Amino acid sequence: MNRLALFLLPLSISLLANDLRDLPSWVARATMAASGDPEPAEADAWVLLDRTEFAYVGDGEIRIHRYRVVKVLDDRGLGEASYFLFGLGGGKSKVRRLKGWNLRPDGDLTQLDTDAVVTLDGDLSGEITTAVATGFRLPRAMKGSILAFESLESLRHPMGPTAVAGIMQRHPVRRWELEAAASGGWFTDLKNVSIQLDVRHAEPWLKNPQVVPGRFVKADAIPAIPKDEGASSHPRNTFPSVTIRFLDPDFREGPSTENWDKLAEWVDQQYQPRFQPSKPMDTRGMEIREALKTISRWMAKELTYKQVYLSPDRGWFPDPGPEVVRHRYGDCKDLTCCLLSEAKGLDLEVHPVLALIGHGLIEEDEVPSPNVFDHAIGAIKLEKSLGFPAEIGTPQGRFLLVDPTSRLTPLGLLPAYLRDQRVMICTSRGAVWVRIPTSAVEVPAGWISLEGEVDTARKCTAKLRVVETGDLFGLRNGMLKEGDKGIQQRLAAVLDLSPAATLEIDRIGDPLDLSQPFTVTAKVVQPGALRPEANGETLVAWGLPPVPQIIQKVGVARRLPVLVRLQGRLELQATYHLPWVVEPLLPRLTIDSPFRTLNWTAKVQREGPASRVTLRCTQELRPAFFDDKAREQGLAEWKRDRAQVLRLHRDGVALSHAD
Amino acid sequence: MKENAAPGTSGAIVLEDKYGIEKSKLIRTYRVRILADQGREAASLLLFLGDAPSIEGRTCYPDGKSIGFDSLKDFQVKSKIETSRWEAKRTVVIPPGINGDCVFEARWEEPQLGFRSSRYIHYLGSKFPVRKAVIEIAKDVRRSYMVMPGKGVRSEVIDEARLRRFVLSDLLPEQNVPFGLKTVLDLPRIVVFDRQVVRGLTKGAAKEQDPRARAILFWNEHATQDLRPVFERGWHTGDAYHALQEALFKDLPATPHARASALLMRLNARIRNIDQSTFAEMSADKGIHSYSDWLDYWNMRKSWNLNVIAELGVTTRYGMQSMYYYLLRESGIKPLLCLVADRNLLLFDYNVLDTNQYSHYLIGVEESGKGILWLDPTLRFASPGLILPEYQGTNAVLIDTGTWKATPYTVPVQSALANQQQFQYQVSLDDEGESFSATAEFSGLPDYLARNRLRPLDGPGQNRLLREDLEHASKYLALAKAEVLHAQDPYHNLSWSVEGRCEFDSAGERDVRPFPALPEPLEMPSAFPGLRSEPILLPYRSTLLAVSRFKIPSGYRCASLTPLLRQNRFGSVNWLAALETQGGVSSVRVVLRLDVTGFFEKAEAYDDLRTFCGWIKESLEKTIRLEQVR
Repeated sequence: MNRLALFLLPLSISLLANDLRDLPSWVARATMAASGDPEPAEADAWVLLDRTEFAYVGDGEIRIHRYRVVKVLDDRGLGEASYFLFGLGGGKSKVRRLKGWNLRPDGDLTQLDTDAVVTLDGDLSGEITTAVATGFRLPRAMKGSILAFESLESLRHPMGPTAVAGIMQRHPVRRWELEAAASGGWFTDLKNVSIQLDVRHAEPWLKNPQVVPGRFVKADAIPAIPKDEGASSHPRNTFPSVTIRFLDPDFREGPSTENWDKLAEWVDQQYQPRFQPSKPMDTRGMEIREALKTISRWMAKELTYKQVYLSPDRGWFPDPGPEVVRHRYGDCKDLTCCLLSEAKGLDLEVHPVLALIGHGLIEEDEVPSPNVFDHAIGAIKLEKSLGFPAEIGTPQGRFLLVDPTSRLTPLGLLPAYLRDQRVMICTSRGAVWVRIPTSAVEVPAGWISLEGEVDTARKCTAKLRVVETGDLFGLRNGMLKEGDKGIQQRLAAVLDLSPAATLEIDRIGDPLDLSQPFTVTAKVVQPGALRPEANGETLVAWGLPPVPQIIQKVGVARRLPVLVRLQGRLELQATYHLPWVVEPLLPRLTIDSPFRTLNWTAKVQREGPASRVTLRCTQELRPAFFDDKAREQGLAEWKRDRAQVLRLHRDGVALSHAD
Repeated sequence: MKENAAPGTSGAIVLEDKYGIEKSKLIRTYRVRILADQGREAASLLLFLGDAPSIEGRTCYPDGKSIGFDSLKDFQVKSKIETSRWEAKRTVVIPPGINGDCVFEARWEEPQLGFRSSRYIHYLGSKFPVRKAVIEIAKDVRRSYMVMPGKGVRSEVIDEARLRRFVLSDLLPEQNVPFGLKTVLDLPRIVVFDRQVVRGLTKGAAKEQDPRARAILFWNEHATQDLRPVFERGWHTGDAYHALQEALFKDLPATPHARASALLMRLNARIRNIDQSTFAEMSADKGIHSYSDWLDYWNMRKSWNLNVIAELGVTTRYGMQSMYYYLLRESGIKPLLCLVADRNLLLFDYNVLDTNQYSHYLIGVEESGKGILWLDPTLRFASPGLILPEYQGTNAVLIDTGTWKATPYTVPVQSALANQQQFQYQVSLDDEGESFSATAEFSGLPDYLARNRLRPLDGPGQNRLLREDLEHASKYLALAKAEVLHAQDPYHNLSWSVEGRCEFDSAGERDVRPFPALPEPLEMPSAFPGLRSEPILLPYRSTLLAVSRFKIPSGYRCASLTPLLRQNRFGSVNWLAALETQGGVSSVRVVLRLDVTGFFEKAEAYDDLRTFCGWIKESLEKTIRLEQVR
């Protein structure tokens, strides 16, 4: 450091200290503490302090006091000037205090408090709820601004006094703190309340975190969440988080999180009174198997998925079966409740099942918490097997698992997103955990058949037949949501049609007939389907398996494990009649990688001055996981696999003119 | 329930869509037959403003059963926005019992149509066919309503004692096709005017029977009686203004076009357009802390007070218009005014006597032998002569401020050469991949649109945005350097330079991408519908020219250099590669030129459009195969 810098450093610190005098002491302390540290490189903002205090005040209520100090490092960090708290609304949550400060590098200080607070409708797209977002935006934030926020909110969650706090953020965090306490008052005795803090996935992200069980978790120098890493595991299974549980033996309105059994029993108790059959279909005289299928078919035809929560606790408690029938819509809980209600009407024992589908996996050693789940399915107890693949044997007997939310999965099978997931059957005798086996799941599959004629102007006219099982191409869904247009759009993507190609739909199967695969036939016309090259021709690559994305940026070290959950079977048979004699450039190719097995053949049958080219491809995708230690190997395998598929796209449809 | 659920239908038919427009409210009646699953959304009701409207309705099934609304189970009134001073509520209604085979009907009240704007257009069609649209307008309503049945729609007008009823039959479902223009379709619509801001017909125009002559009189009256007093009012000038004028006028070129262009560039350099601030300007803003700050805040918005604007050095886009107009006149030029409308919102019709049609004006300067140069002082950093795409090709009113005479006019469509993107690539190949450096330079609209995006960022922010844009567009490359030049310098074209590497992902033979991260000259949709009846409108004409060079590494040879040369009514695609050998070293030079010259075409040209888009895609994806020499 040169002499001028040595002179300027104390001067700048003293100037900063002057400016900080008007800020609360916790902001000044956090800012001064960071003043000697180098700013993190490649960051838009730097979180100097993120501190949250969770205080249990009895009767299921938590008070959450947050302190946050952020330094804006560039224009993209200006988004940090907005501070919003998301609550359930409807009296279940309330923002009691909200303050904000913007100290600009030119010394200008703006302070906002309750007067500036705005409450916004917090509905996410497609949902109708009571949720609200409360907060404000600090005005005139600029590069170098110190932004600070303090808030106090109260939360009485329908599922009891538990919470989860993530630690890593979009920006690096200099100091992260979480403290928990039970603070009773004159009329509240909380000495029986036990506080549990469970830290997960601290390694390799947190360096020497300070953890005092039941009191606090603190950590320094936390990196930002890595960006642009594809095929990675869900953040929930990757990045550090803390689960906070207040175990209050006197609290009765919500579930206990002491153990999974108590949680499961409570959930079952909430659902059982809502299982009320309304018998919209006449199933009298039917065998159980046929009756269940009849109800499931009726539901698939009549009901749709819709999240409508007109009260704050509706996100956790289902509508009774008859209400769902009346609405003709519902969320996963409602649809499950509807199906199980009718099953109960057949004198079957039924139970709710909690699952996780959109947020990673439930790990074996997770502590009991209702926050673990994001989906509800159903379990129907069977005295004897009905012959369905989705029947699971457990210590509590045999259960048929059903997921009526997946409208296009036939009863007796489960949708692909549940494969290998751990789910909790909630019974009056506790929790029954099961892992969904592959045999219980409908594996997506597709079969594409093309028969084309290419004329001397290189225009191809082809008959197309696509057969789909499960949701491999999304054709059934496309038909239900958008009709012919939906089919057109999805087929254009599946075949990777050029803008000049036209697709005329000929016949479409019934998307709600789940007893057989969904079939679409069409005519495809593509001018310039053959592209002349110096030594031959290149044919359109219709229906080839798509080239995998690049999952890691060039020159950037991989930080996350490699995880692929894709599965499915694809079979392509394409026959093209060409007015020339040609030879395939790639007559055979086999790819056997951790992610797929692919077999390709290209054969030519000479027919006088013309030829018939037959292309065949079968592909089976499989899930793969490369943990932290093997991630570089996973990346290398991905690149090799991608290069092979690229080769198929490049050479598979290349034809040379035969002499 | 006469219509049966049948596969292949559009999913639903709106049986009746009725608007009862009364003095202070709108009574809506809506009845729809849902025929299939994809028609369920026809029963989705809009979110209503305000508290629960008095809504009633039911869902009926083919067996005669029905389900009515329940205010507790199917309604919710919630706060949309709430502050300490005001609250906006909305009512959410979720119709119960909707399936793929039912009739849904509802009746409710709403506030008046478009009650917040002086001119409002409400389209009557929907995604589903409408059998009957009924508009009943009470005769005592305060605002003016014009019902326009549109092309090919049967309509009937019934006059009753207290209302006038318009019945429109068999409205076709809306199409949403790429490169379309809704306003050109003449769709059935209701146009709402605020009478207080509509210019009434004065004596001369009112007496005229011939529609064309009446329109000429109307627009001339508007020019002389409404606009002239505004443009020739007593502008507030003073010392600050005169000092500014003197500086701006110093050594101005003599010819009108050059003079007008130089003046606009100089004005932009001296006065900040607060509606298009830069990062540095926004960071330097001190906010409003004192009475003097408030005064400045209001004064800079007084577009007639040129002295205050000159003194503060800041104004709004309207202030820029006023200041430039006045300066032009002071410099001896009598400018033209062109009253224009955004073609995406409405197509200006000279024969419709409504001054609310136009939303903006351009300033024109005529020069003998060179025509009119159009200038838009509201656009910061735009080159003089640039016309925003939304005004190009539209009808407008031209006003000569020398005589204040108004005439019909068509805004020019600028040539492809006015909007250029030029790229130079140098690619070098090694064992593990390819490195490249590229420079780009833009002019016209690509230049202005890119500058606008970069404007709120500082230098490093601009560089980073460029890098992220290019890397995001093609994940296979990583940029080591990305530098934006002249983003806020109106005297130079915007340009950038980058250096990067591409991942080598071929096995055995190599495919060289001559143009890594080259943008598409047209934003391509993900899918093109099979048929189309709407005319085609491309956003604007443009030219993209890219040149790339790379040396062939030893051990390889070029497999083929097949050119791609295509042309149709929408433009041309020329991809040419040549092998050059110098001093025993072989290299390849590739030239790509994409000219988008089409603008507005009938639907019959749809096949040509798709073909043209296919060529563009093919040319951008085209690689050069290098084979190993055995």
